[in-house]
Formats: sequence, structure tokens, C-alpha cells
Amino acid sequence: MTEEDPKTSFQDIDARLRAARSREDERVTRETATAPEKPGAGAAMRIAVEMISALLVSGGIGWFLDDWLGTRPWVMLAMLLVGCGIGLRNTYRTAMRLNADLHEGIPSDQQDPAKPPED
Amino acid sequence: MSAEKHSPLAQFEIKRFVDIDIAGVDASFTNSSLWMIITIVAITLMLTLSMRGRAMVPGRWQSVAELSYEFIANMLRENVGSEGRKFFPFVFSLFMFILFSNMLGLIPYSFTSTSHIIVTFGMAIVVFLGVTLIGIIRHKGKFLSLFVPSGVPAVLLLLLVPIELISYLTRPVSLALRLFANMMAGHTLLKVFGGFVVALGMFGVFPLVAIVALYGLELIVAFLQAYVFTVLTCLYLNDAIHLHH
Repeated sequence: MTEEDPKTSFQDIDARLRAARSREDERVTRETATAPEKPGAGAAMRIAVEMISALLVSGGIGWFLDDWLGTRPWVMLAMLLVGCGIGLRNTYRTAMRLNADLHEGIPSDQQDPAKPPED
Repeated sequence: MSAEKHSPLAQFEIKRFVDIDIAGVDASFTNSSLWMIITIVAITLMLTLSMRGRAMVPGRWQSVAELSYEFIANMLRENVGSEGRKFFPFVFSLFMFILFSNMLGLIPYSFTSTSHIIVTFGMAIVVFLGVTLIGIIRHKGKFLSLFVPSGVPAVLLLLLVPIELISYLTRPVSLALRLFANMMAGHTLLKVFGGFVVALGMFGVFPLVAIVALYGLELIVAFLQAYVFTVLTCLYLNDAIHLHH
């Protein structure tokens, strides 16, 4: 131990520390993954808020564009329609993700094929 | 004045204690500021005092502190992976602040700072800007691939990229709105129902029991909303670090 170059022994320790850390990470992830405890309540609220915020944001963008282009109220009206679409899409995504969380144990081929990749 | 006092919305009123004006910006010390400071002091006291013993077998307070540490550490590990460890201090502070101000707000005659949208939006925009910056610093131009759905013909991209962009921009709004709406709705509901306890008869016994149950529900909501806010922060962080959408 004493003859060893201090630099290499530090590197050795570093490597071992890293390996131990990632092993621990894997172990904990495995253990916690087997017992998913995701609160189901509040899901409805999460979904409703997606719709409202999409409308607010796209309506707001339309409002500022109208101010800038002097075309009140047309861009805002168009953007509100777009916001409806985006809100529906976000709502669908959130619902699908919540669904996927619920059926985590089920093999992937039995899940809804429309489910978007884990995001 | 007396009619105002009984309004279920009077509890959200901002009261100025000290008028402070910095270069035209109103930075007065209000009841909201006071309760935010109380929140931070409560968190600091709880965490430092409970960890003072550092016993191998934790006592009650030490286990509370350790449990909250473990809870957030696991949340980060599950949702972000080992790269998330760096962001633990931020996510932990965020969770504790929201949880404590939600919980302290449930004490009668106190003030809930998270029931004001500017407070929740302030936190949400910090998360949003921070996460976006992390993504840009880590991936440079490749960060923009977050807005390009894979396997779509180029013509459709013209339509889909703006949609992805706007839906990315809705994140801070939905984050802020969710916490604010839950806290405000819950507190208003408690106050409105509370006002009917005596009027509903039976010496107010059964209505009071219902209010107690509702109060329990509010406790769950207070915790749940802190949890949802932090979990979504973790998910956004994951998007920025790993770029899979």
C-alpha cells in the first residue's frame, strides 16, 4: 500500500466509490420500483388544469400578437382554437401517463397501443 | 368592515405591515412575506434541531427529517436517475417550502402564501427557466429536438413544432395554476362550510364532524400538491437532461 503511487490509489478509490454508488442506485431503484405508491387522488385536478393553462397560454400569445400586428381580435380567436387543440392533446397525454402509472405491472403488449413513450 | 370580515375570501387579503418602496417597485412587508419567513424558519428549526442528536437509532423528530430526505432522494432517483443527485438541494427546498406553507396555512387565523398565484407562479417560472437553461447548457442546439416529434413527415412538422412549443410554454402556467387553485379552493370551501355549521342545526354537531372530515381532506391535499409540484419538477428535469419526451 505504501509503495503505491498516491494518484493511482485515489483513482482506484474513486472508481470503487462510483461502482458502489451505481450498485446502490440500482438496488434502491429495483426495490422501490416493485412497490409503486403513487397517489391516485388529485388526478382529475391535474387533468383539468392542463386544459385551462393551454387556453390561457395560447390566448395570451394571440393577445400579444394582436397588439403587435394590430389585428385585434382575429389572431387571439385563432389561437384560442389552437389552444383548445393543445389542451385536449395535453389532457390526453396526462391521462395516458396516469393510466400507464396505474398499470405499471402489466406487460407492455397488454397496454393501450396509443400510449406515448414514457415522458 | 364586519361584512368584509365574514367573506370567505377575506382570508386571502394582503395586509401591509411595513411599506417598502425600492426604485418604484412595491416591496412592502406583508402578511404573505411574514408567513413565508415563518415557513422558512419552521423548516430550518425542524431540520437542524431534529438532526442535532445524530443518533444511530433515530427518535421521532430525527425520523421525520430522515424520511423527508429519503422521500425526495428516492423521487429524484426514480424520475431523473443518478444525474438528478446534483439537483437534490433545490428540489428538497422546493418540496419543504410548499409542504410547510400549505400545512401552516391550515392553522386557523394563519395565512397561506401558496394560495396566491404570484407566489406559485414565481416558483413555477424559476423551475421552468432553470430546467430550460439546464437543457440548453447540456445539449446546446440538440435541446430543440425536444420540440420535434420523431417519425413525422416534414410537412406536418410545420404544424406540430409550434404546437409542441406552446405546450412546452404551458408547463409553468399549469404548474402554478394547479397549486394555487387547490389551495385557494380548499380554503374557501372550508370557510364557506364553516359559516353554515351553526345554521344547519343539531347544535352544530354533525356539521362540525363534516368540517373535521373536510379538514382532513385538506391535509391530504396540502401534502399531495407539494408532492405533485415536486414530481412534475423532477419530470421536467428528466426531460431536460435525457431529452426523451
